[in-house]
Amino acid sequence: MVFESPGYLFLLLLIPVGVYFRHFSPQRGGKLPFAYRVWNARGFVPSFFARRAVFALATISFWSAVVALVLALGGPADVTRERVFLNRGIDMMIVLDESPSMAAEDFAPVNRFESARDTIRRFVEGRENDPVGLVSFGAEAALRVPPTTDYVKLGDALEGLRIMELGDGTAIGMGIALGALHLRSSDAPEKVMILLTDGENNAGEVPPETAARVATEIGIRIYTIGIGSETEAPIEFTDPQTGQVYRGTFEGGFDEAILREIAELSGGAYFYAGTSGTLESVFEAIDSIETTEKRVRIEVNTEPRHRLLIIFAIGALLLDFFIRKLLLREVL
Amino acid sequence: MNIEYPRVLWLLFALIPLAALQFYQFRNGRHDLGLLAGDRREEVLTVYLVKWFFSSFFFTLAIAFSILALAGFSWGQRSVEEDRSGLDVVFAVDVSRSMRARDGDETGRIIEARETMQGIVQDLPTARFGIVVFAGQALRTVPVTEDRVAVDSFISSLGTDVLSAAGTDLEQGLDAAFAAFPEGANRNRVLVLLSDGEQHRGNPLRSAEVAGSAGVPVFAVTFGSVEGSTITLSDGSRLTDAEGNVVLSRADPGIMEDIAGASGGASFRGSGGEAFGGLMREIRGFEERREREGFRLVSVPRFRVFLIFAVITLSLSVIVRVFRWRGVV
Repeated sequence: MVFESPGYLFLLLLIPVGVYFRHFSPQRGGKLPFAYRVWNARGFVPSFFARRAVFALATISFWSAVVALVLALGGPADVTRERVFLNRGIDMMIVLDESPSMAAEDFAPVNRFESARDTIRRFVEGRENDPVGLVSFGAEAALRVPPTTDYVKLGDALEGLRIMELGDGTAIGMGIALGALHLRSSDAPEKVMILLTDGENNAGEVPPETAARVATEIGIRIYTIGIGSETEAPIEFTDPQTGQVYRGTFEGGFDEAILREIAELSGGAYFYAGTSGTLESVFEAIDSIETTEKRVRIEVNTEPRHRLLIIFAIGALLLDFFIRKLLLREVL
Repeated sequence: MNIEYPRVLWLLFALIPLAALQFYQFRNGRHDLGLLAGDRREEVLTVYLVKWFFSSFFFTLAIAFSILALAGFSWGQRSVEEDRSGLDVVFAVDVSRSMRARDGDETGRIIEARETMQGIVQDLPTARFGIVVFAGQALRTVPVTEDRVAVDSFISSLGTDVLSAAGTDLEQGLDAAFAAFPEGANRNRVLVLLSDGEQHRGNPLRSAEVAGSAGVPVFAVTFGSVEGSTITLSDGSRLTDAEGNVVLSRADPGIMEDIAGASGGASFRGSGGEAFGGLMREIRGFEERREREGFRLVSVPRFRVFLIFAVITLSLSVIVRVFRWRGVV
C-alpha cells in the first residue's frame, strides 16, 4: 500500500487544530444540556454515562470521517509489480502416457500416474515465460492444452486427466506426432518435448521412430523418460467410461532401446525413473538443462484504494449527524 | 469526460431525505431554543436560522461532493510508457442460443462469428490467440497460444452447444477474456468481442473500461439484424416462448458500440467484407501505433477535486456552527 500524493497527508496535522477549536477553545460556545419536555411523572434522571458515551461515539465518527477523507486525498493504492519478460522462452510439450499400466502402484504414494502428474505440476510451477503444452495418449493421443504461459489452464487440464480415458493401449508414436504438430507453428528458437511412458508402443498408425524423425526436422529436442520398476506391482484403476474398477497385478516394461533412439535422434536425452524420487530428479535435471537467459522489465501497476475510505467517511458523517441531531437533539 | 461508476450518482437522491431531516431538526431546534431565549427570542432565532442554514447547507454539500468523488469522474489524458511488441488477441465469443439465429442471408450468427475469427487468425500470422466462450457464464477454452493448429481446430468446431448456461452475460465474457491475457508477456493486447449484444446482463461497460485503462481496446463485432430473426433449434423447430409465440432475436449494436467506446476500441456490424476490412485495419493500426509511439494515453481520475471540495465544505459546516456570532449573541 502506498500513497500516490502523500503531500495531502500533511492536512492531517490540521486535525488537532480543528479538534481544539471545536471541543476545547474557550470561544467555541458552550454546551448546555437542558430538558426540552415537561417532566411527566417519571422522575427526571438523565442517564449521564449513556449520553456521554453516545456523544463520544458521534465525535469519534466525525473525526474519523475527516481522517478518512484526508487519507483518501492522499490516493492510497495497492502496488503490484509484474515481471514482464523481454525475450522468448523455450516452448515445451509434455507428452504423458495415460494407459492403464500407469496405475501400477510401485510409485509412492499412489501410483505411477499420480507421481508423474505431481512431478509435472511442480516442474511447470518452476518455469517462467516458457510456453508449456500437454498431450496425453493411450490407444489414441489428444492435445489437452496447446503450449501456453497460462499455467493455470495447464494445471486444470493436468488435473482433469484420467487413466484409460484414451483407450487401452500405448500409442507413443501418435503422442510424439501430435506434440510435434502443435509445436510446429511456434517460432521459438528452442523447442522441447518431454515424453513419459511406462510401456511399449502397441497402438496408433505412426511408429515412434518416424514421429521422432518428423519432430527432429521441426527442431524439437525430445527427452524420453521410461518409468516403472522392474518387479511385479499391484494395479487398480477405474474405467472412466464404464465406471468398472479393475484390480490385479502388473508386470511389463517399456522399450528402453526405442526411447534411447528417439532421444539420441533428436538431440535430447533418455532417463530411467524407477521410483517417484528419481522421476523428480529427472525433471530437475531437464529443468536445469533447459534454461535460457531471461531479460526482465518490472512493470508497476497501481490499483487505487480510495473508494472504501470515502464510503466509510460518508457513513461516519451520517452516523454523527443522526446521533447528534436526531438522537441527542443538539440544537446546532 | 468519463464516469467509472455512474450508478453511484443515484445516491445523490438520498440528499433529499437528508435535507428533510435537517429541516425537521431545525424545527425542533427552534422550538427548544425558543424555550431558553426569553426576551431575546427573535434575535436568537434569527441568528439560529442563519447558522443552521449555512451549517446544514455546507454539510449537505460535503456529502454530495463525497458521492461525486465516489462516482469516479475522469477527464483529460496523460501518457503512460508502454514499450511492447507483438500482439496477443483474445476472442470473447458469444455462444448463447440467440447466436443460432439466421438473419437475412440465412447464415447463422455463430457461423459468421467463426468466419470472422478464422479471417483474423489468418491475417495476423505472428500474433498469439486465446479464446473465451460465454453465454450465462464464461469459460476460457483456448489459453493464449502460438499454436495455430489448436486455435484453428477449436474455431472450426465452435457451436452454441459449448455452454449450457442460458443468457448472455457480456460482463463475464469480457472479464474472463481480459483475465486470459497471460501475465508477464511483453506484447500488445487486443480483445475481440463477437456477439449479437442481445439480452445482455451485468455491467459490461465497467469491464470494458477496466480493459481500456489497462491498454486493452475491445473491438466489438455485432452479428444479426436489428429487425430480428427466429432461432432454429437442433430438431428444426423454431424457438418459442412459454405461450407458444415464436421468439424473435434482435441484435443490439448499441451496447456493443458503447463497450467499444468505453475501452477505446471500435465497433463493427456483421461479417461482410467491409466490416472485416475495417476491423483488420483497426487492429493493425493499433499494433503499429503502439510499436511506433511506445506509449499510450490514459484518462486521469479526478476524484481529488471533489474530495477537496468535500473537506472544505465540511470544515465550513463546522466553522459556521462553532464560531460565535459576535455582537448578536
